[in-house]
Amino acid sequence: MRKDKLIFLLTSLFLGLLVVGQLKAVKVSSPWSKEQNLTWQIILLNQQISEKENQLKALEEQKERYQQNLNTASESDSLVSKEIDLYQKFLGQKEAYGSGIIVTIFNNPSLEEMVDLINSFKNIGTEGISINNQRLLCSGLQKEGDFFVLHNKKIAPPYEIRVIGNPDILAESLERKGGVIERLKEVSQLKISLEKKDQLVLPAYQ
Amino acid sequence: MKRGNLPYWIFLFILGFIIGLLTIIHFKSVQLRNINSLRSEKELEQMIPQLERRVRLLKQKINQEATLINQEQERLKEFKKISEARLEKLQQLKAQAGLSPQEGKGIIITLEENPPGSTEYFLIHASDLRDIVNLLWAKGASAISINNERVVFGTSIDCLVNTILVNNTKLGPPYKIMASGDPTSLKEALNTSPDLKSLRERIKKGRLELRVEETNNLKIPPYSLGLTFHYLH
Repeated sequence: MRKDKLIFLLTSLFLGLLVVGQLKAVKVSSPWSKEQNLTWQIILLNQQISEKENQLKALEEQKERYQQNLNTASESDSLVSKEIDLYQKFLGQKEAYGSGIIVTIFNNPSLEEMVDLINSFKNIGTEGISINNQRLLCSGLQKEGDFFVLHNKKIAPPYEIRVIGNPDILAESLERKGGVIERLKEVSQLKISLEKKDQLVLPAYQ
Repeated sequence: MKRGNLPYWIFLFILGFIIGLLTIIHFKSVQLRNINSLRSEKELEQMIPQLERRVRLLKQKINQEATLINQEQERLKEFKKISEARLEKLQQLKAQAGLSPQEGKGIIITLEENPPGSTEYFLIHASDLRDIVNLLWAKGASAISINNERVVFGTSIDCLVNTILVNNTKLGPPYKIMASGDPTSLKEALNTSPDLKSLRERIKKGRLELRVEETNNLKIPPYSLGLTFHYLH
């Protein structure tokens, strides 16, 4: 009987150890979300770095073009004119062209959903947006019943949103699993489509 | 084997079975971890400040480069290679895009957690700031900044692990939002617009504080990261 008790004690001890070990293993793997968060931060920082490097390169090239002493007056002037033209397009003073995507929403999103969607275009990177042929600048959207109001003009569904930017990056980021479009479709029950475009035209601000 | 010992053996059998089961679960979960942890958490954590330093450095360089371009343009103007009127026009457009500081009338909004500095609730969300910016723009604000980060067309306001990112810069409470425009109508919009319903509910509960101050000498900083166009033409 004493031998039996000893075996029983040892087995219980072993069992106890395993339970503790198991709990510990669960505890160690549960800050997974922290590891994921860290990974996310790193991905975003890397994205930012490559984006900033591209921007820096573009600025350096621009500076070099101005610095070339061989430039005649008309060449220098045309460099400035070109910049003026781009800023006018960016600010909605002229029609703007470029590659990008068209996102169409067939039913009626809430104001918050629209604000969040536009924010995600900006987060991914965009140089111009229009909604139903109205240019979106540093402008706010408001909601009146089933309509949106942009620059005091009512716009109604379907909403065709044109976004100038990198079509592949925009489409992949928005359409990824668990991404913005999936959430809008599944959580908000919106009917929404996305199309990549090589050439988009955004109207000037009227 | 005596008859009376049967429950004892059944007990031992069940015990053995459970031990076996736990052993399998134990090893399985260990294996799962090995597959997933590519780098240690500590190593990942150490990478972040390094990457952030690189981003800061790049931002500085972009800023320098943008200043150099402006200087070069001024120099060319002096040598009469660029017409004064044209350069002035470009500078105006850049200011309109947010690349110059803006001074004048407007409001200063302070959004604070109650009690201040309590980090356990994280009561102010990126979406609150997005809604406020959207409302201010709709009500005619001409320039906006959040904790001295200028909000321009391409600015996104996001949330990452309980921090708010504006222009990819980490910000924390209290949030000081400056908006230039007609102080009275901007203030009224903030206090009455239905667009900020969820924010106002939290203010009512006493968890948040929102103060709006009218001012005649607002100083909104410029967007410091320069603008380049890669897809627009």
